[in-house]
Amino acid sequence: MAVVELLNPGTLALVMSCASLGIAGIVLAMFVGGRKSRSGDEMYIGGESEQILKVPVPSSPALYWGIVKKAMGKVYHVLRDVVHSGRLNEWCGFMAGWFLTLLVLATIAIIAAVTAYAGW
Amino acid sequence: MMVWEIVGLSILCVLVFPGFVFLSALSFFSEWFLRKIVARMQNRMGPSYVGPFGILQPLADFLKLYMVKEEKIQRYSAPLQAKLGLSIAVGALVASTLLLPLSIVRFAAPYDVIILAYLCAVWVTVGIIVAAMAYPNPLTIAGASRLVALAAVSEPSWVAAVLIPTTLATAYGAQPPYSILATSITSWRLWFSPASGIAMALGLWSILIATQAKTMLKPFDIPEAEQELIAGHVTEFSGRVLALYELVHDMEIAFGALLITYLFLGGPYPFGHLTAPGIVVLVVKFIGVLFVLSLVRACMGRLRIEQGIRAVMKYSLVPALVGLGIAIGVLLA
Repeated sequence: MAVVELLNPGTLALVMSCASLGIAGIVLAMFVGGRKSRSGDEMYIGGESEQILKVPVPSSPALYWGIVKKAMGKVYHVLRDVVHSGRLNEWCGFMAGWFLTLLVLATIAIIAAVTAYAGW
Repeated sequence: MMVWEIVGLSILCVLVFPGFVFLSALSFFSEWFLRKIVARMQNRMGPSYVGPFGILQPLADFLKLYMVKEEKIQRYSAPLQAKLGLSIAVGALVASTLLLPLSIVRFAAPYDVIILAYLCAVWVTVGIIVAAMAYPNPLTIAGASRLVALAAVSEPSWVAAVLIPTTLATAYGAQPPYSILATSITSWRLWFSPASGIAMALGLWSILIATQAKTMLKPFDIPEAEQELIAGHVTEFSGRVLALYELVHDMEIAFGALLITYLFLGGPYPFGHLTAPGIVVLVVKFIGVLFVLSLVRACMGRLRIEQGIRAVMKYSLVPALVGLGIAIGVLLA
């Protein structure tokens, strides 16, 4: 058999707040205490030392790799899209282009060397 | 009935049914159901060994954290503050159950929907944030800031969705006006008129997404963000603090599903409240809501914070506001 308590809004707010606080008090009393760890009081930052939070700027290697990654990101994406596109003819075209460039550079270098050696 | 008898019964309701003891048991059941269903959907076993079908696994996990596991004391932490914040959240959720027809002593007042919003949308969130801020840590702060950002859209969506059935019930003459108890008792009627049915459908859709976001289930597990932020605002919780946090989280899911069952699905309708067939129907509807939450959790990946906020605004806040507009139209007509 249920009992309906029809109250005014202010009284109900008071009743609900009291019930809420009462339960909060009981729960707090239940959870206070317990076993405490005796080892290590550092904050957990994914295995990093707390010292890392005191560094005003990133370390030199981190800064170097950050800049490299930032600057070379577009180059990497171009290489990935062209070379690793999954199409064999694109890979062949890319490799053939590079070999052709190297061949042209080698030819120029040989001509330059021969010219310089002959004293022309 | 004498005043002292009502006070005694009310205290019994707060402590046992549907208060702290019952809500804790329901929370453990909800956690087990979510874990088991999600596991089966992902072709895993889920909890299996403790109790029949592993149903006692959440209780075993809780007792292990409460009685056996050590609480790591971090140099800058304030564990008592964390416990206080989480205790307030438990208190707010337990007190909210007294507004539902599930309670033996049912409390009602005109406009008590505001009290529900005050308890569930404000104090639960504030309690969790207070607990998170008790452990200063870059990961905890990142998680807490995401939690605040998500709550800034999920809580208004949830409140707007809750206002839809209460406004419609008031329009249909339920007394007292804007009361959770009166709405729970009359909510089944609201589906049978075209205008209020559309508003209820929008509200149901909206509150399911808002509850998913409020309880940080996938795809809204952005504040915890395992692997990305270790565990976000939960990173430093251990021992009893973690046990209490898990309890609050499960209670939020259980109470959210219970509220949807009463405000949108008619509770035990077509049977009466606190009758045997009514309780069976209520349990079936409650499990149905949990199943939907589990389904969304199982089949979606985590969103980024800006995607999550946009998703809640687009799929929960906007439908809730449209539904509320229709409900106000019905009220004024």
